Amino acid sequence: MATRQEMSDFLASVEKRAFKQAVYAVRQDESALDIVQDAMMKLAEKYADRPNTEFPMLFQRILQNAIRDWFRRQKVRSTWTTLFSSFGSKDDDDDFDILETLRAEDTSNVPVSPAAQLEQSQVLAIIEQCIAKLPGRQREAFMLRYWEEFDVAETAAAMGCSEGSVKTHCSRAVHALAIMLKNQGLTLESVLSPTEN
Amino acid sequence: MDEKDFGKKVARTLDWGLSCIEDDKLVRLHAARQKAMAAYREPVKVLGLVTVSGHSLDVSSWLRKPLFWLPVLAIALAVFTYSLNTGGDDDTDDVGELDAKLLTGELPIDAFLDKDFASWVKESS
Repeated sequence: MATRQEMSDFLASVEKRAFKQAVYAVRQDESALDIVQDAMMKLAEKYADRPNTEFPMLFQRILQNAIRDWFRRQKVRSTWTTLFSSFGSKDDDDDFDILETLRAEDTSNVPVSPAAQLEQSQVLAIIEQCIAKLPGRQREAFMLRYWEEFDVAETAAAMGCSEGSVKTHCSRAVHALAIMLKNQGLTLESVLSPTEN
Repeated sequence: MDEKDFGKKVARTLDWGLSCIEDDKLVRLHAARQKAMAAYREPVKVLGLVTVSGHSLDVSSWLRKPLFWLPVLAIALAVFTYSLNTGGDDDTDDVGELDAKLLTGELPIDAFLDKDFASWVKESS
């Protein structure tokens, strides 16, 4: 059974990654923030009695469900918008540019050269753009395996699928990302993280 | 580069990107966390079981739940139905016994002389 402090610490540790995951999926900062807030509240309200070792898997499951619910609501909303489009004005901005949202600002305190930092932020923007283009399940599997560092079993539990499916999704995600990055003129062999400078 | 290396490298870049999240987003995330912690309910251990509640075992809350009453009503209905079915058995047995005695001729001769008995036989036939 987790304590209040453990719950708070866990939420603090995942909030940024959760926000980014939601942004990659829904491509809107505001909606992503709402999704993350809903997921955090659900975890705190309903699963406070679980041990904190279960929080990562539970939270990811809640987060992905919240993202899927968002898409379902959007589908319903867009159906009504289409039906009444002749009566109303234009709704959401369809010219949303993910790069404008995700373009990195130089707020980092990492001691690297400005040139390296600029290169890194450009690489980041390209990678984030490619991740956002992945099919939902592939993106989910990739993020859980490599960013959240879940093992295959934990990823399968969080995604509600078999371990074989996780491996398949991950493999396809990696291949798709590699191809997209190559098309953008980027290979990860040439990418340096700031700590490697 | 194998799949694992690729994934780790991408993850490292994404981690670096976390430091680039705009301040207004960070403020919103912090507020979301505060809101979640405001909704947090301290789990309470009652009789060795953990419940997510801010109170001790609250029986009155269970009594207010409709789902609690459904099985209770079902049991009450079953008992009532059973009692209806078994309640008239005594009368049924008496009539059955009488019929049996009629057929087997065990009834005393006086029964056949009884007017009420005669009218009963007429009605039941």
